[in-house]
Amino acid sequence: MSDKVLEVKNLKTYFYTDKGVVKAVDGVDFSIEYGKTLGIVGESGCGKSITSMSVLRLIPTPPGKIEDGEVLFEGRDLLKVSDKEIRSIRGNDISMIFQEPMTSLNPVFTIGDQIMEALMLHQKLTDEEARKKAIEMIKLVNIPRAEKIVDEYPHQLSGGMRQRVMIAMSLACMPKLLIADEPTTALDVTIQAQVLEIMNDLKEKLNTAIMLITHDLGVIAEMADHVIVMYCGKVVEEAPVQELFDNPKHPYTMGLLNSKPSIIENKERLESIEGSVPNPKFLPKGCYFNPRCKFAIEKCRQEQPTLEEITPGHKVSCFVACKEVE
Amino acid sequence: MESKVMIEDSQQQNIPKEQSIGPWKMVWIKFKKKKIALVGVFILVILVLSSVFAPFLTPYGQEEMNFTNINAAPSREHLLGTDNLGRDYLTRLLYGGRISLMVGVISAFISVTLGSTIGGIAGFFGGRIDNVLMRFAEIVMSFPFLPLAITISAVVGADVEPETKMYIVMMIIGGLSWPGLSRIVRGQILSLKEQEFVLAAKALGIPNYKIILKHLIPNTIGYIIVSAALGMAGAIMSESALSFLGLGVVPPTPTWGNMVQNARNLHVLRTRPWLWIPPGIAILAAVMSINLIGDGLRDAIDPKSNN
Amino acid sequence: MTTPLLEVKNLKKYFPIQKGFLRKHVGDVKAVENVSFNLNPGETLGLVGESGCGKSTTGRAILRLVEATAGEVRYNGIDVLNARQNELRRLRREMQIIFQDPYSSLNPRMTIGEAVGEALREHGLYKGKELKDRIIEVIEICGLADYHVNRYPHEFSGGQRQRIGIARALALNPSFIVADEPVSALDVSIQAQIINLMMDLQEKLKLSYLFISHDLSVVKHISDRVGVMYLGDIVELASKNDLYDNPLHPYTKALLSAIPVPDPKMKRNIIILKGDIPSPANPPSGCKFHTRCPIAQDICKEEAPEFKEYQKGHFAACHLIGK
Repeated sequence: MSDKVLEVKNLKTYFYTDKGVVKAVDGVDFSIEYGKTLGIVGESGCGKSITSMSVLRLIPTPPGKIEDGEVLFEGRDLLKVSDKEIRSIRGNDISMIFQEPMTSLNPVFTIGDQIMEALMLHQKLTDEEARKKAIEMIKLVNIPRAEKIVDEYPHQLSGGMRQRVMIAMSLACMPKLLIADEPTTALDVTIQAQVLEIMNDLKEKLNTAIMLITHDLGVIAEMADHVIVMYCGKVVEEAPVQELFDNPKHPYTMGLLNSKPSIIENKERLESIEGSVPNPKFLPKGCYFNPRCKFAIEKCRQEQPTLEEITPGHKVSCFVACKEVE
Repeated sequence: MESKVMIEDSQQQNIPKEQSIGPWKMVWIKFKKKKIALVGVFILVILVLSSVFAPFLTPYGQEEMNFTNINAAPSREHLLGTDNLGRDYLTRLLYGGRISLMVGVISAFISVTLGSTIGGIAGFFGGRIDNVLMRFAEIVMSFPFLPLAITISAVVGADVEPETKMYIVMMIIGGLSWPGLSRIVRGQILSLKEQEFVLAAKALGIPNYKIILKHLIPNTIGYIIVSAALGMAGAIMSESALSFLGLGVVPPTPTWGNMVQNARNLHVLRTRPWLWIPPGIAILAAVMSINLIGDGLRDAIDPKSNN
Repeated sequence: MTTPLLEVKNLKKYFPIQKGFLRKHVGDVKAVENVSFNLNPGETLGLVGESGCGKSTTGRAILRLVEATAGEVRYNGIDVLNARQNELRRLRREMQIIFQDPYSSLNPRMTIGEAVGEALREHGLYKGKELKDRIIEVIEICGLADYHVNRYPHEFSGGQRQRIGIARALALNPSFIVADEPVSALDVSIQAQIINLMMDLQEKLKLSYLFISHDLSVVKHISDRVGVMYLGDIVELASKNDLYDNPLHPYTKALLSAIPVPDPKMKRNIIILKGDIPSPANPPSGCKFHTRCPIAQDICKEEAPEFKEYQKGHFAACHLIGK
């Protein structure tokens, strides 16, 4: 039990709009162990980013509201602690990096100032100590000329460098959990390789747990230990990474795996998932995936499946897949 | 197979098969939701109707004097009393609305025409043309409006008919207030020009003038309309200010501005409030209602304010 | 040997950098420096590279959406870059483009029917009922339904919008299409739909594609031959299998090694390149890749390598191949 840094139970985050309620996250469970990487995969609108923001209570309220659930960080429910406590956790015990390296740094402060800010606030370091630590962190993420870079402004750096600065910043306080929301989506392949390598490296050095949110299964395969697949605000499949890629059970996971062209093998034709992600305000009856599913049976159109464990550690939310196993 | 899924998809989004919501209809639907903007429409409609139908609403003529009954307080015959020449004040207020609103409309029209044409040319052609036009706009913009308007009005409009004076006022207001809009339109055109649908039109061999007419203008028109509405309110204010200073439309032609001018001495201000409160309220109502409509339109047209 | 449909020779596009009130010319962004390739009828040529390598500008310069600085483009023997207005108008029917962003590529104030029919009307190809039929025919080929014609773009999802963009390009019945990152903005499951659609259309309508993308796996799937661009130059060009199985240029090797593979068991040797892509306004001397190249030698800093055929149909520009 104690090896889990974060445990999320039955998390529900809803958005109330003029046109109805959007159940962005609808009953999500998962946990992350110390020093491990949990990958969350899904397409746009599946609720993966909202899940990560709910963990740190960063949901804009209104229109959003965390309706139900528990977010246990080292046993403490983050949904119940005071605003002051959650602020002392953000950026200190849990930190976050975002997709857009261009907008997540403040343009009017130097790189050093921005890394030092969290250090001085959370770790109560003096100006000098913080600066030293900042330079150390910049070196850690393999940015050359660290002593010069601390005094430079974000616009003087390239996208890849900025993303590395973001990582340096988020790791400065030695967080126990790093939430990375599409950290390499905006970067070029060669730069992505640099950033992923640094993240893997630091995970080992600092024993930080990572919650990695992405739509790219390649990145997941490279980084994650355990994976959850989300669709329309629900977890549809959960498994250790090897198991998921070898033995996907949910038709959606299979579709995602097969629809991506590969550079290793030559495929004649891509298997596509028909249709598109349903409008979250008008979700279909039964299993949310049934209108796009090749294997859907009558039961799928009527009832909603729940997440069942079919082999140890491998859970899937699908009537057809569960039946197969039986 | 594929198209069947598509149909299902759109049914999920509850779009009726035949009926489609065009962008203008969307604007109207969103505008209707803004109650306060509808209040603006209501007030403006009343003001416009009452000045258009002024002859039917009052038995008096706008310049009809009655020296036996000057400076009368409001009574049953003269609901808002009479002025120092014995003219019915309500009549003058109604007719004054015609001029004030017309000055607003025409000045805004001049300003919008100049602003969108100049901004559009600058944005579309860019380069040196853009540079010259925008510097010119900045020069016009850099003069303080009121002193310049007063100077021009004093120089040009010294010895002319009241009628002519009115048109001069319109041209001054319109001719000085276009630079703001021209910069907005230029910015819009510049960013639209980079949009891929404009490139696509170019790739399809659509000639430039059609790209401007069908792809660029329809996508800036919303901003132009909003700016026209707000410009109209500004023009009414400017006309009132100029007339109040005696440099706008001059009596006997009544406007709300020169009617307020009647109250330029302390005695009138204290003892005959019916001479300045009604035109003051009329100006306030017109400007406020137009601004409310403009704000409502802006929100309705802005595609980002979807909720 | 078939005659190529499209020949591009030494294409060059500089964007001038101007400063100050007088717009003094202070330098150039060398978006496309020296690009040459041929495209055969019915073929797909993939063009890959990272952001800022000039791949999109190449596509646009070929279609004269931006005017090239120098070079030669021949389509069926016709000199495209020097074509006069009415000649160019005729060429527009033959050469079309599909864009990346399904949102900005459609005019929000035009219905689908208007968008697809605009060019048909402009070129006077169809009228009245025939025009209507043609519009419906085209959008149905692209997987949309006939009643979609009166809808506006905001009523469609990203994937459907991309289909509309394709329908608009196909309306004139072109034979060559520049596809500029057509699936990059889409979700994975929708990407596959669009890629399949494009491949079906190619077979049905005998199209030739110049497929521009930063995604090497997508390019591999759809292309017959692939060109790799770096800072405005094509550094390697070969048939798909030659390029992916036997890359010659160190940049291609690094690029291929850097793609995450959706298989956790694969232990790959990732070649991590140092540093960032240099600015195209101020590219490095000699071989432009030498600042990041893991095997660079002195000669690479001084001399630009020649773009040569090393194996049959396999071109590359590197001093060190075979050494």
